[in-house]
Amino acid sequence: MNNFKLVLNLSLRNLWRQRRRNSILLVAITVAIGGVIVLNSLIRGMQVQMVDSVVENLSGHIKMHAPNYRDDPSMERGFVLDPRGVERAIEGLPVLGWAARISIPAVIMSERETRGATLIGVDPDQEHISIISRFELEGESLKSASDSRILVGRALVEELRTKLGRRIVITTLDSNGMSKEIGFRIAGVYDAESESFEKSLVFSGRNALQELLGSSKVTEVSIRLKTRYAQKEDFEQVRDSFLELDVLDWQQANPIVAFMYNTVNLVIYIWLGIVLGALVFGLVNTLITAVLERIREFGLFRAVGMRPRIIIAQVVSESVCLMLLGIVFGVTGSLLIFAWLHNGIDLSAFASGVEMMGMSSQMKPALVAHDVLVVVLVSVVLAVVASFYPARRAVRMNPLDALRH
Amino acid sequence: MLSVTVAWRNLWRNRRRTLLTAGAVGFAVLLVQLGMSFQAGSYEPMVEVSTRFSSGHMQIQRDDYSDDPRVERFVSDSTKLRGELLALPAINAVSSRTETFGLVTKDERSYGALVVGVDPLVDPSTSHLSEQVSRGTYLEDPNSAIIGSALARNLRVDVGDEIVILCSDVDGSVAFVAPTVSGVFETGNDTLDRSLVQVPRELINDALMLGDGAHRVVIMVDQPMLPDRSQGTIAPLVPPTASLLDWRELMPEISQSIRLDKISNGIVYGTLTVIVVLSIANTFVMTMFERTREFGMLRAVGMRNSSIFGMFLTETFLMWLLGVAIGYGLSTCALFPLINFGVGMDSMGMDQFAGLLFLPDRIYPAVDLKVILVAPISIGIGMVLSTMLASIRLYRLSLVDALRYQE
Repeated sequence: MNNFKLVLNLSLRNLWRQRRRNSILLVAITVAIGGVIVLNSLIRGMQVQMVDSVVENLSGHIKMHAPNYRDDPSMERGFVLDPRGVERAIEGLPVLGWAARISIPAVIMSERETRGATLIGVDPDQEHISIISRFELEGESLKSASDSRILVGRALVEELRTKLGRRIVITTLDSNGMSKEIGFRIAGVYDAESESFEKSLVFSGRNALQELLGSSKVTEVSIRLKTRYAQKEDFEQVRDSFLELDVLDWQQANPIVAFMYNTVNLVIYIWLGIVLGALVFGLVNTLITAVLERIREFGLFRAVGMRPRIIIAQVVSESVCLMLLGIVFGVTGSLLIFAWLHNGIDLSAFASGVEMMGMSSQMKPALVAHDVLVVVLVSVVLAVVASFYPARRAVRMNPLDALRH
Repeated sequence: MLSVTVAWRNLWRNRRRTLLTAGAVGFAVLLVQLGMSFQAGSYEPMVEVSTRFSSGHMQIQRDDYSDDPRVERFVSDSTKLRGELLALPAINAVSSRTETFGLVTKDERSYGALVVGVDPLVDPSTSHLSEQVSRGTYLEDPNSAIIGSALARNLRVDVGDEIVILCSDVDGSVAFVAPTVSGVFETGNDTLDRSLVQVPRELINDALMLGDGAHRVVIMVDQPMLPDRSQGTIAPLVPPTASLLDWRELMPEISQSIRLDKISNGIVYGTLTVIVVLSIANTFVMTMFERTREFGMLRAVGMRNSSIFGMFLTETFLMWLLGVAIGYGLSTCALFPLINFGVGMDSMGMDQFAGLLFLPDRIYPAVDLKVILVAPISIGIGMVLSTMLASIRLYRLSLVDALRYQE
């Protein structure tokens, strides 16, 4: 214990003795640690956002379809909903809610224009799990699953040159694969963050649609959990309850986003490696000099009876203290930047670009404790490794030679 | 010359330190160069692939078409315009296209689709779609159509079947064509495969009463990455009510993701450079302290501070040269095979998204002047600043203090 105090005391004084040199190194460490943490939190923020927006935008954590639906989305590829079966399948899971929907391609005609879109039949009471319940609306929302009016996106309304309260005609295929034309009144015009979302999705009541299309089927069930990520066991429990359906987790339902999500994990470690790699040159350089210029000092210590172990410990603890100080500054700095970026970085100038990557135009950093911990641990290990070898070389010298150095 | 020799020898007085510092420079040069060459190599193919899918490098459209594409907003006399454009030296290919939304019907099934009218003999020079026909043939018959694979499946049609396309003509009345499916294409891009139909332009123009009109006159140029260069020569040919748009405006998602990529990589390179320069500054300061007495001695025998600084700067320059040489050496070794063979998208597991994200099959890193110079120059500037920082001491310390200085 006494030794520990002695070692710590000596290291701190030694650091102070070379304050100019050490302060420059400290700045380098601070920039490196701070830079890694800030950038990682931005990357993590992007990752979290990708998942959140996928889950929120109708995908949910777990989604099920009839087989072949994804290849040929139509009422013919629907299935009969068994609400009790769904309830049984999700029993015990941390489920926020689930929604059964109809989702089929449709052609929409106003008095003037014709456009293609996806017609989605929803039950508003179930849609607290998705973005549908959080639309900014002009006009009214759907009242119930039997509401036979329609919600249309702002961008689509403009393209169709129609407006709230007007009628539109939708052509789609019914459950026998026959074309069917149905008239709808526009109950509300919604604004979504993404223009392509507004252009491609229109919503009506699910039961009303079933009646109009002469079918009691739905085409998908989406389940949303209370947690951000679905556990594998949760997914398997649902999958095994519906063997006759295609059950997908969000990654299978959105392969591109899943790929990017997984790439991000790799990017974080590559980035950590690059920055610490750059740091290591400066660290080793300084430590070697610090050891070599003190060889006589170490010789003296040895001559008056200090053990080699203690000398090594002293050098190593110098390096670790400096690193820890750098970590404190770096983490503090990154927290300040984090607080400053709290409201997100506005990427709306790149809106369509970030949309292609599945991100939102407000980039919000997300601090993940695990990442910070990895940065701290790896840099401390680096400090120990980088100082241990020069120190060991110094104490291997014969004390007499060292004194004469 | 003498000062260079002295500086060179000084460097090797502390071999380990010199190598470590040069190594740091080399490390940064290598990483920045690798990163930048991959960026430089991927942007152009990305633009090329994405523009070949649909938009082309540039387009002439009527002014109000891009905001609200309506059938009646077309550019007239497109064949004449095409001829004039082709006479320009910077232009490789020109193709007129008519575009409208249509209801595609086969028996009782109907789906909405984007119907594009093209000149079958000309369009393949601006678009890769003709090469993506996986079954049947491209538009050979005046009354034929090619259709996306997913749409074909959903409509239950195959090569040889007749489909009916309903759309509205320039007056807003219903028009239709009934071509025979000559081919089915599969691009890998779900949106295109699900909702695109191409027919001969003459066929659809007759039905829509467009004459020789076109909604998009698609232009391919020699230097797509520098659209401003060709715009000047094309501008005089653009009809008064029409405008010239380049791919950056036609596909904002591509140009924006390129810009975003440049910015985020810039931050990464910047941080890396700052860390490396700081560790170099640190080394220089240490060196200056160690050599205080030496510099005092040099001054005592009559050397000026400015000459000592000059020597120090020469050492910095030589160290920089060494570091850059290491960096160039390593990056040449790494880049040489990559430039020749490229990196396949499949090796990164990205081939399945290539169609959707507009990525080419292989990326070949490209080296240009910017790639070669940015890292060495920015690190060089940092090193000169570090030398100046370390040399403050030279001017501060009196000769006597310097000579008496004990480490």
